[in-house]
Amino acid sequence: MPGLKKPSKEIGNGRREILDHIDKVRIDNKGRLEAVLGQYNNIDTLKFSLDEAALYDRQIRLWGLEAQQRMRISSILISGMRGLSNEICKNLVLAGIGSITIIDHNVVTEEDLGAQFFVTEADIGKNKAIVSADRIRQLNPRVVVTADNNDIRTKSDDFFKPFDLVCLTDCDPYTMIRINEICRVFDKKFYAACTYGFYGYIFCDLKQHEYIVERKVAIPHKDEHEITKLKKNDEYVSFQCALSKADWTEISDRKLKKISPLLWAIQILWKFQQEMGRLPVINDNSDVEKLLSLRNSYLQTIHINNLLVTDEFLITLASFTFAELSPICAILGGVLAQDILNVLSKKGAPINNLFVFDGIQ
Amino acid sequence: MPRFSHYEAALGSQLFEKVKNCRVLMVGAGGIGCELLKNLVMSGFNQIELVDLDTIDLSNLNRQFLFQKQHIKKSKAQVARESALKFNPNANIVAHHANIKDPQFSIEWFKSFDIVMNALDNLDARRHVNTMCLVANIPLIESGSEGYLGQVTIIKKGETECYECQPKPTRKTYPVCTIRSTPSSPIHCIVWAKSYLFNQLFGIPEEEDEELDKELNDENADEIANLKAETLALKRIREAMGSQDYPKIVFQKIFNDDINRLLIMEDMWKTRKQPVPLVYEELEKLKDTESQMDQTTNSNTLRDQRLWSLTENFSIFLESIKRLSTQLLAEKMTNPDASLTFDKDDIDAMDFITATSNLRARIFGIEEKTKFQVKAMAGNIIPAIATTNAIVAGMIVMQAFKVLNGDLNECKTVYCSPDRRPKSILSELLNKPNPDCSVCQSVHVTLNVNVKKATLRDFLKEVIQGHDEDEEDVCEVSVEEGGRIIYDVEYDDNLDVTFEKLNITDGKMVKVTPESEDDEKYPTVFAISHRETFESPNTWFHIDGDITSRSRTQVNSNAHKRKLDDSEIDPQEESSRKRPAVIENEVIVQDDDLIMTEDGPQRLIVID
Repeated sequence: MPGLKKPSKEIGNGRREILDHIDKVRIDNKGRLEAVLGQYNNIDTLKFSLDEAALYDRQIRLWGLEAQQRMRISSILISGMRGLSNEICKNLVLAGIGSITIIDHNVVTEEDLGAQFFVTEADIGKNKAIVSADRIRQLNPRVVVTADNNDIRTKSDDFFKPFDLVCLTDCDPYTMIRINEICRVFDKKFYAACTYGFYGYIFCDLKQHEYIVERKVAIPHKDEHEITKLKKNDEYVSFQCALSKADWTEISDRKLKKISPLLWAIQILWKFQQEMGRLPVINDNSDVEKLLSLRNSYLQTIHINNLLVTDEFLITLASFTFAELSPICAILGGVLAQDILNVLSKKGAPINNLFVFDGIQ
Repeated sequence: MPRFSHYEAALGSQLFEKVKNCRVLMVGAGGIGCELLKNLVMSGFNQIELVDLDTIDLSNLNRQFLFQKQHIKKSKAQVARESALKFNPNANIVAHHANIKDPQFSIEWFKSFDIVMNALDNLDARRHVNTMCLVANIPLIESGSEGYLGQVTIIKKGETECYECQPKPTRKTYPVCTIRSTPSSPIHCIVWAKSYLFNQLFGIPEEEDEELDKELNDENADEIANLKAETLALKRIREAMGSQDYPKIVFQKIFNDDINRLLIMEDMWKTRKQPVPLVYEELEKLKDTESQMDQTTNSNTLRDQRLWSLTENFSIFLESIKRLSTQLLAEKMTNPDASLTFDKDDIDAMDFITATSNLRARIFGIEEKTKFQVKAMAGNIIPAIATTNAIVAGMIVMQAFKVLNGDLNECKTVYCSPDRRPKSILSELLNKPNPDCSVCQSVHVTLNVNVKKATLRDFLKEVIQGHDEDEEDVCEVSVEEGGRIIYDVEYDDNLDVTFEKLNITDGKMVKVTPESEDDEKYPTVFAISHRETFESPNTWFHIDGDITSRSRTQVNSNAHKRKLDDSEIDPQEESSRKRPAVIENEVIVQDDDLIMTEDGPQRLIVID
């Protein structure tokens, strides 16, 4: 079957060994692979090979075997292969998730070599997803890596069914709304993130998420700590709903001052994209005017003082929309990947629901 | 170059030029190092040197992504370089598989860099690099990570705190008697197995008697004598290594005879639970009966992750002694002085430590641990993941941009702490140097000296006293190097010995502290740089730096301490080493009085 790859591991001389802990491999009706663990649905009886225990030793000591097991049976979809998603893929694959599908219809250009370390000069002109997949696989041959060179916007709803979590990077608001709705229907976790030069954001909609928070409490007269576990359950709103939030009056003025203007600026940027179908180009005066007027009308609608988002700030942000800076991708990618791992392992409080990062501050 | 076009636009061409031409030293190529090297190469840094003494291990691969399985056992520095070059083949990366404390990495070598970035995992190396950067007066970006937590800060002489301005928590130590006679928690048993028994049997036994003498007092004279006898007996047993019943002999001694001897000291057990010795023959019988039963109940859990039964501990104890003995004897064939050092990743050593400490725990009624848990405690393992390191490395480069731009004021200490949601990345203003810090408050100069010719006397006369001093005057200073006293007012044996013979060679640091009553002077640290010839024929010395200057903050700190009323306070009172603090109607500033304000930590001035 085209595109079929049974989960396996290289054992030298070009031979491959089928990983015995993946009990069954099922092909869904679109010809895509679904690794099913059959009788190992019960987390307790899932086996770890000695090799895996040694490889993941330092992280198992941090989040425990159960969390590692949950990650191991997870399936992630990442769209857009740029600097940020390179970092996310690296972090997730190193951690040992079950499978990852990367989708991007674009080809590699010379500018991509700046912040994307999964592509080299020899790859210019080739599809990004396909050339990156091999290098991602090398980071951890145990993870099933699938590349899709299609445009995510052309995918039907059913495409998203096999995944546990969907993460969109460099995506436009319209597509974000659509895919978020699909995820809500199928009960999938949803993330969307992007970097603009020194700035970036992470949005997530986990619909309803149950998780455990651990607290270490020191025991007097003993060297060790006691770990108390708290069960929590959070509800999230959809992206569309978050976009249309118009009532910020419950937040005091003092708190408002502490909020980064980035929070508003990102939303203004989204509004621009929704109206104009693209990102602003700073050299274009009409774009700048449009941006500023959007700011005025938006802030007025939500009763936020215009002064909180200065012209200068907004224009600076807009000038960075195509720029990718490696350290910013690294920081945001690290935060996002860790959040995803927490969500998959149901451990630790995730982002709720928008994280903005100002790298200059 | 199109690949960096966005970079240049974002950073501005000026900063971008600086980045391109900047010479960076990266110390450490592990968790943070791999991520950092990737970031540096992708950010346009063109001249990078990295140093790491370690080789690659399987447990590194969950986060040190520049390494793969085929690189195990190879040099981290070299493989990191090869992998990173793939990201930008035009970058200049020099890799050193060496210890940063090696003399080849001299002060002059440090000075050749514009910025230094630490990606280390130990206190010792951090202290060393801290000192070198202070002496060379170049900015240092210090960082660390542990589990989900990470931190980045800047160190610049005279402007920020140095690494040693705040005391660092030292490793916990345990009294010898607790370890040897009266353990009460699992860690005591593990330390006993690792630091005492393993070394006595397979390693180089430390001077156990000296340690015991340190704890000698009126009450425990009997106990100390008993322990000394135990150690002696164990030494003799070691000679029987390799014989068939060697494991049995060791077992009987440490788990039976020694315990019985402890029990004789009744006073010890008046308030404590009495230990119960183990009997070899009984355990053997138990083992035989159990092997007839099926042991499949625990087959799903990894052996390392579950508690071992008494017979398992017993069997593994005997087996691991056999394996370790075999290994040691084999090594002794080629090298009679061979010994084994504890390695947490060595399966035999870990089996031995686990089984031994569990058997001891059983004797004393202490909770037993799994091998997984024992490994963490014995090996001081710090859990580590890729994401935290990625975040920290990103933060390092962001701070580096500010440093290169000369914006030290914009730099902050940045923390990654997911517990402090919603602000999981926090920043804090940098602190000013601690005026009482013995490391950065010293004056640092480079002393060019011919170590073969110059003597200590020459040094004191020419460099410290100056020629106008009367030659008869005793030089009132103390001179230290590497923790030992070379000279002081009462110890002048070394006056006519050359630097070289005193082992004061290239790269060493010599600290000269005035012992005079005049407290104006702070210690001066001389970084030794060997040179053969000098301009003037009469001297073997040349000083690089101002020996009389004090860093700005010393002057400022006196301002801190100035009283708020009219009378003069002697600002050196607080920092005097010899005189006790005179507390009359004076303002005293405690360094511990820091309060957190919106602008970051502020010193609190106590008004009496």
